[in-house]
Amino acid sequence: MFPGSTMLNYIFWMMMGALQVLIVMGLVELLKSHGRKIVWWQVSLIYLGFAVFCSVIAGGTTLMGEYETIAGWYFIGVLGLPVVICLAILARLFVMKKKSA
Amino acid sequence: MSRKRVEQILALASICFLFAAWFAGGVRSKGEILEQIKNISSQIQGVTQIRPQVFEGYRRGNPSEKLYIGIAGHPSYGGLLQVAIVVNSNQTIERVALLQDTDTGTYITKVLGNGVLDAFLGHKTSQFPQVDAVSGATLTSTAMIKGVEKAAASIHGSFQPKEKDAFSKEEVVKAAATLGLFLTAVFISSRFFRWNKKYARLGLLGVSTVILGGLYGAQFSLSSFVLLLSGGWTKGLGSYTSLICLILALLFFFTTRKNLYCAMICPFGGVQEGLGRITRCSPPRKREWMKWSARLFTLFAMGMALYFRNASNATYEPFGMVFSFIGSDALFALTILILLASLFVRRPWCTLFCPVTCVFDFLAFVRSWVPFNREPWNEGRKKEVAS
Repeated sequence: MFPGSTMLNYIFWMMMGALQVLIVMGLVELLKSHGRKIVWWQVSLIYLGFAVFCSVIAGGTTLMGEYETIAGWYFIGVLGLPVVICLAILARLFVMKKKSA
Repeated sequence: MSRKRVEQILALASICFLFAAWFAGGVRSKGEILEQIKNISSQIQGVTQIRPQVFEGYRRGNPSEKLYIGIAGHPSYGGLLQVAIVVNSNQTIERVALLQDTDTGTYITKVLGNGVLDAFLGHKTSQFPQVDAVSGATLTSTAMIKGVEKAAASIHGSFQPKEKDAFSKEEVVKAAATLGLFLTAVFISSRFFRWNKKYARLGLLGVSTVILGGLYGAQFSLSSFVLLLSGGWTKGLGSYTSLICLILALLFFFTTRKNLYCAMICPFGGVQEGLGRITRCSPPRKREWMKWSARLFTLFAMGMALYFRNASNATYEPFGMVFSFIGSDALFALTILILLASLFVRRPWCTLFCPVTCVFDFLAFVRSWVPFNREPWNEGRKKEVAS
């Protein structure tokens, strides 16, 4: 990704990993601040959902990078939509419910 | 002038516009055949008609070398599909061309791209090759193959013009299933249904989505309305299910004064409603300009389809993309956006963009012109029983 450099690649991916943790844990803290009780397996599901969503975007953009732009968009559309729907179902089951007493 | 009067004038103007488009289309298509034949090949000259559907010409620069052009059509999904073949004096097919199609462009491109017509080139009319239909576009491929065979037979003079396509068993089953769905919808909406109507409606919607949408792909669209209006169905169709669905929807709309199709049967509506129920979202707020924009667009699409005598020109709904994955890239993008939007607003396509909704609104408005004020069919009975 960074021709002519040895360290930047590693630093880039470390930052990507750190950002993903911040995003997911930030979401967990946000839900906690709204009075939601989040257990460990729900956090795992959030991680999984986010990872799958990122994989779909990564796959599509990889295809775009290989000069298969239309295929990339179809990849994101066909696979991304079920992922978003599953995330919505998870949100409905664990987030959009009555607050626990 | 009151608002209602203005709307009445606009409704009448719409009917006149559609009639004018249909009439202009008829004028445009006269004499089109000879022009199309001339465009098949620049090598053909001196084209004259010798029999119905058969023309004779000669090769450019060699008047003694006769060429015969046969034209024939076969019912496809959206109406009659017409092909032309050019045969030389050795009975060898030199050219095959698609003259008229009424199917969605994606199907045509798929079939032509698989070389269905090219497979006949160089073969004698008495020795046709075995050409397989293209998977996912069976009706269109079959129409092209049959069209070529009929055109060759008409050149030989052995073509029987009054060929009747019998209803296949599958078509009868589809029609029966469609009728069953509508009768169930009528029953659920009637006073005789004593159970939970909300869940019954959702259940029927789910069943219809699977059967009509997923299994049969027979949801009617704006092109079905155009097909019905233009009379294109009289020339034969590859499948009558969507037309039957449309006729039943109109029949029950006029008899029960309720749009049962949109509320209980529409497969794409079912998909949107299912997604909307995940997030429990509310319907979008429909402004006047949105309503009229959708209506104008629908009117324009119908007018163009009637003018060009091609019902599929009026197709811009995402139904085919959702259930059969057939459509252009733009339609794919629209479908994804609509499905994503369904998670945030309830039935966005139905409420804001659907041309079928616009047509039913128009029919409801025209129906209100009926002098005597008729109540819904079961409301009168309710009052009788109460008294």
